[in-house]
Amino acid sequence: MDEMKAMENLVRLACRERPPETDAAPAVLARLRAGAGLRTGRVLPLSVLAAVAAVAAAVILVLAIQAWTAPADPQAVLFPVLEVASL
Amino acid sequence: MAAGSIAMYNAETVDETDRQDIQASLGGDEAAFARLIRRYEPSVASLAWRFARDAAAREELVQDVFVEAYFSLDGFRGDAPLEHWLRRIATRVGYRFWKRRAREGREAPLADLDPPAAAVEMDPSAAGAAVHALLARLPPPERLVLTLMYFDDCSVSEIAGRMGWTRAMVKMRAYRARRRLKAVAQREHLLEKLGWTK
Repeated sequence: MDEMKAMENLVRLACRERPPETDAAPAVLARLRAGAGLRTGRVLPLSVLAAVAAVAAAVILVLAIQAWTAPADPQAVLFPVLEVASL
Repeated sequence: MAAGSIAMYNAETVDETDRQDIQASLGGDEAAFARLIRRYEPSVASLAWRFARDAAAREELVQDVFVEAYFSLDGFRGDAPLEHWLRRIATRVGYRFWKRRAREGREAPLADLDPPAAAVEMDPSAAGAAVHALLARLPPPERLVLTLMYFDDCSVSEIAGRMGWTRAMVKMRAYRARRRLKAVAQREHLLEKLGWTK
């Protein structure tokens, strides 16, 4: 008999195996309660994250508007200084 | 949010009981999620058995599958039965477990094989342990392909879909896995150990 044929026979036999039963429900629910929290408890961290992101976006928007309205030529800021110096 | 997504489920793929329990779970109903777990635990646990034969490790895998399913439940589109979706998660969880074990260098001993005299009447459990030990000699991607083909009756396309791999990649891994497995079986004198040398 060839090794792969033997393997196929072993697999056929192994497929008839009945795995031991498990009871995961209590442990899963306990993990959800203890760790990440059930779905109702998940809304709060997400809303906090959303608020933080909104504040950050607002700050960036203000900075962007300021930068947009500022003089495009960086040398322009020197002119008032030069005027004072010539007087 | 929950009601809207449930309404889109295909009635042919997701049965009414599942639909109601998913909806209730999305609303935070613990009992509904426990019902889903109890309904599909045998299917998930039997697949997890092919990833870990150690009771504690397998129990943890089953738990991981349902915890992951809980947090992905709002992403369940319902275009396939819930059981298929859960088995897909179980496959990925099991595969991650193997990769972790491979990094740690842990490997099942091949001494799990029964003595040759008992081989002809070898019981399914001993055969399962032997196949598990032999497949454990393969790298995780190859091991996964053969495990799904042998024990979950998966086609190349199904494995590719479940793992996000291409069909060519699955075929190549299956080919390499068989070749490597044959070499392992020869090196470990599988036929002699099984008493199947005639």
